[in-house]
Amino acid sequence: MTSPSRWRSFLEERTGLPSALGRAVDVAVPGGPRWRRVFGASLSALLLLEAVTGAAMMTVYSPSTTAAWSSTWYLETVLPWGRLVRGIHHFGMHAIVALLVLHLVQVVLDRASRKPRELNHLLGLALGGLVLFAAMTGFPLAWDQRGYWVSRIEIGIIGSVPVLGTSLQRLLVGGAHFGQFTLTRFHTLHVWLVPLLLLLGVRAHIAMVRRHGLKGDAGRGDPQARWWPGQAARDAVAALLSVAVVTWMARRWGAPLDAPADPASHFPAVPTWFFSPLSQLLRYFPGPRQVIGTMIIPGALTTFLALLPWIDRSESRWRRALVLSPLLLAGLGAVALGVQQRRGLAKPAFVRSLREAQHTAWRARRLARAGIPPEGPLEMVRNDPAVRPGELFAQHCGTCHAVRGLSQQRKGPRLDGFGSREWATAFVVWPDHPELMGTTEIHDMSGQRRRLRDEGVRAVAEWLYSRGYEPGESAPDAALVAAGETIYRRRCTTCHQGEGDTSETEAADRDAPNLDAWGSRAYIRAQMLNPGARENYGERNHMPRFHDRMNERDLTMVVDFTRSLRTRPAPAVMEQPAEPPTP
Amino acid sequence: MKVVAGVAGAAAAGAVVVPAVAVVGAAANAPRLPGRPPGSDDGWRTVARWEQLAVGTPLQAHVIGAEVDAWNVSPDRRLGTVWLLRGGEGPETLRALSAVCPHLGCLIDHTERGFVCPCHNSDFSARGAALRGPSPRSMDPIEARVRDGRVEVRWARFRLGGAERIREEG
Repeated sequence: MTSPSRWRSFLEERTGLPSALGRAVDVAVPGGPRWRRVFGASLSALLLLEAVTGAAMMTVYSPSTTAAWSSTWYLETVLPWGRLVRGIHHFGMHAIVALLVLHLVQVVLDRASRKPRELNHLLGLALGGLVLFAAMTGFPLAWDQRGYWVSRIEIGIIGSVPVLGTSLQRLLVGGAHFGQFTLTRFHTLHVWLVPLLLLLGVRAHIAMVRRHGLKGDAGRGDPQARWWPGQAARDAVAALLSVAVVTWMARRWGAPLDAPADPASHFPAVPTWFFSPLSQLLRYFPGPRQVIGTMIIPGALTTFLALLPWIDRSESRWRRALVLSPLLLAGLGAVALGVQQRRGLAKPAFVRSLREAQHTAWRARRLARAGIPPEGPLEMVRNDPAVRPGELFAQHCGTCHAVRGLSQQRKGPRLDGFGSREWATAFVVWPDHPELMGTTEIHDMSGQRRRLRDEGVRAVAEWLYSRGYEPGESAPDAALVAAGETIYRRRCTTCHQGEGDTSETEAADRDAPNLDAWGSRAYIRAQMLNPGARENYGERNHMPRFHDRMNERDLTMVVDFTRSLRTRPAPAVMEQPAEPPTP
Repeated sequence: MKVVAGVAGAAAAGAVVVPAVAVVGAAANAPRLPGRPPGSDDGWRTVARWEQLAVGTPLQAHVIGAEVDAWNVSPDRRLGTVWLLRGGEGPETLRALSAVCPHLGCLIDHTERGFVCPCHNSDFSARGAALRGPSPRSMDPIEARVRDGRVEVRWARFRLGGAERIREEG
């Protein structure tokens, strides 16, 4: 006795495994192996691939609205091999849907759903539905913009189902709104319930295939042919090919990751290719007729497929062509709808919003590199130091103040260059210029060029600039600052409040703003918190107070942003005549 | 014996399945946090100042507040967006409309043609009435008032897609 056969009989006696394996591969394939029967095996292989890569990702992924995107980003970007594994899982799903279509086409054309395989055909259709449900529940798990918005639309469609729709929707979403419970529910369905059902279903599907044998080609080739080894070899090669293609696509493109889900945003949501015919169909049935697109047409098609074993019973080629023609039409219709939808994506408005979304996604991935705060990636993006201060400024200050690129309002002074020598010069020369105080109701100060001469204006502007100067910026000229301060304390403090007045004016008569800290962060903050304080514009003020409109973090951002404006070009007032017209 | 096997088996299965299904169903009703009972927050949020509103020019404003989602409470979240309309001199002419399109929930813009939803081209009048497009109803009104010069609204969300206006709770 050779040693392998001794092992074989050892195992056989104790476990019965070798003969069980022999029976497992002993499946009838009348007519011998064919390439067109490999889709089932490839599907099994890819489902296993999904299970393996999915389990690997579960060791990293965290199903919470504040951590889902972050953990996915970490897997995708930081963990070696993470991008490949996630990409395989992603493209594996696409390949499964594509192979399902091919499998179904093969079954229909080869009459493989007929007696005695009717129930296995129904089971197969149910498994196809489960696969689509798995794709649907997996899509929002990264909690990124596209996953979130596409899911919201899909859930909206489920809600349009008559009678049961709303309860089903609440059960899936976990309440009325998309949020934490949606994620934990979709996660549970995606990683546990649906895979369990798929596993049991596929087992039963294959068991029935074994029982009936493959639907071979009766009357051609060897009627006694077996699955092993001819068809097995073809199945294995096809499975390898599927896995190879999926891995190649994963390496080439990787799975997409958009910006973190933002319920308050506009996002150009586009469904996956296999849902796009359905989504396009909805456009033709607005309002109360929506149910035709969501339920009646897809329902009719599914019913037709389910009843196929009983409808398609003829052997005549022409009768069959007639019976199967609705399927051909449905297929062509689906392709046409899909193409139509992709064409709609070329609209300029859509392209623009897509580009904006891509930019936000890029910023999010960029910001995440320094770590994501515990409040989550959405807060991180909202507080993007490159965007947020400008947004806050536009929202709170831009309603009155002009700043190039943010606001064109002219109810208060333009703030481009605020804090710079140039802005100070412009103000001293022509305070009532329409870009400065001209459009306000404060006109107490006149142009100072004639009074101070050009040298005096230059010195006072240098002194004003030095008030908000911070190390690292263009250093003020010390001699000029000293000269400017002397002029200011004598000639400007007849109106302006502040220390060191040498003009011998009564303190009560001095009611113009204190400029001792002009242009500094403290000055900007004080002006925002209480512009009507006596130190600022007092009773003449018309600027709103911002003390109750912003939290401390936002206030600091706006103050810093306003101060950063000093590097921008100031309003070009010096180009105007030396003495402005008196108002 | 057969009866015992059947009854005991069914009871054991029920003892496992009933609580499991019940907890899944309970979360669908989004229970409130015990420290935030109904009425602990009257819902009024300041969105603008009365003097910012001009007659004939709608103002878009964001409703900022704490967002409660299961156990997460996030302060300073954008809960929603409203359009504020000023009809005349007095604060009683204030009206607020939700910027959420009743069709599929996109944000409604204001252009020279009036209110427009950019997603599926639903047009609304200057007072929010549905004119053209797939929106099944007019823009949803939001409770609004003026207090000490502050414009306050009580944010609400409504079920999408139906002609009937149903407030979404929770």
